[in-house]
Amino acid sequence: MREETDQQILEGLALGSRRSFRQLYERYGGLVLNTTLRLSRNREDAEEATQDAFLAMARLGNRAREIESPRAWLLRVASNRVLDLKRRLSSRPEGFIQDTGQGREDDPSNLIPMEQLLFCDARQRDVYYEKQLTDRIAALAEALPERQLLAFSLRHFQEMSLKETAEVMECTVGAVKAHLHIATGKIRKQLVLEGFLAPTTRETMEQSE
Amino acid sequence: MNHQELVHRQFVESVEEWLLGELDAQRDREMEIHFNSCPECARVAEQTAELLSLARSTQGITPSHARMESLYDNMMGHLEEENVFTRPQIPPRDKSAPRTLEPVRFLAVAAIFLFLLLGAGAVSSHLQRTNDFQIPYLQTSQASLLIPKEVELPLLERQRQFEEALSNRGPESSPIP
Repeated sequence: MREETDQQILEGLALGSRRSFRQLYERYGGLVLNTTLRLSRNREDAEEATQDAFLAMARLGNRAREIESPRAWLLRVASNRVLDLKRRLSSRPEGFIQDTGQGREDDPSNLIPMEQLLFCDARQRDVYYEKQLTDRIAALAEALPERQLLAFSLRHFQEMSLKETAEVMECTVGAVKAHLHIATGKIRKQLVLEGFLAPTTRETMEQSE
Repeated sequence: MNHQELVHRQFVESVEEWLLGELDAQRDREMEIHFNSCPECARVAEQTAELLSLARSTQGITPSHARMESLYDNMMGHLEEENVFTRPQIPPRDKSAPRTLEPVRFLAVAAIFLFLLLGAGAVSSHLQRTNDFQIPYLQTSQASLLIPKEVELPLLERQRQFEEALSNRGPESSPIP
């Protein structure tokens, strides 16, 4: 199948082309679903939000031509939807929440037999430590407030530029920077508290106070 | 918060951009100099670098091909039901292309123009026939009223001299004084 530009796909979509819709889904379906899964650990919500975003774009008809970046548009609609669903989920009864327990102290995947740690070599210990830290970063990111989570997720998990992130979040680049600074600061501080990272002298003083 | 703390804070706030190489050359150099001289901020920068590197290395959950296809089929089901792809779409007018008149419109405009032209001709000929359109010319006596006094007096003087010369002249002399 010939690769079309985003604008050609939007033009096709405006004229009601199934092929253009297929191409759009193949190009951005994975990215949108991955992002929504990052924002909500609930697979059903992520899939529903992804579908809603693509359906909304297909229903635009002639107005599809007015979209500048379909990637930003889809991510914006899908992330708004998934955060909305997440909000509703948090208001559901407790037993309803699908918590994977990832990153929690009692999570069995976080535990490693002591003998294994004692007899493994330094490289293996580094790999283990890195995995633990990576999982913890992902878990702490998921616990961030919505806007900070969205900014952190788009910027660092999806590696989008500041401008693209601002476009998806419908805010200024300055606002994205502020969200990111707060989010990264929170995650780093928590990692310091949990002993993953060494505190600075200032932080040690703050903790002792 | 004292001045020193504020300076440290400003550098720490720009750490992410510095790590991702998004600062201008001057600010980049300033950050480097500060981190070389401040071990506290350097540690924050080092830890943030590790944090971001790990965050960026994490792979999200990649859905299986079968799952993606199932989602696609589900969406297509909705769209087919709504006739989204069979609904005729009107292509918008190309704004860059020059405007052209369709034949019917062109004929209508031409007919209006012709009607106006013929109407103006008929009115004009009617006015000429009824002499309603003549310009009232000024009579000599009325025209003399329009001559200013400064011009009128020398003229009268010259006329008087002319008449005097006429009365005094012989048959061979010139009438002009």
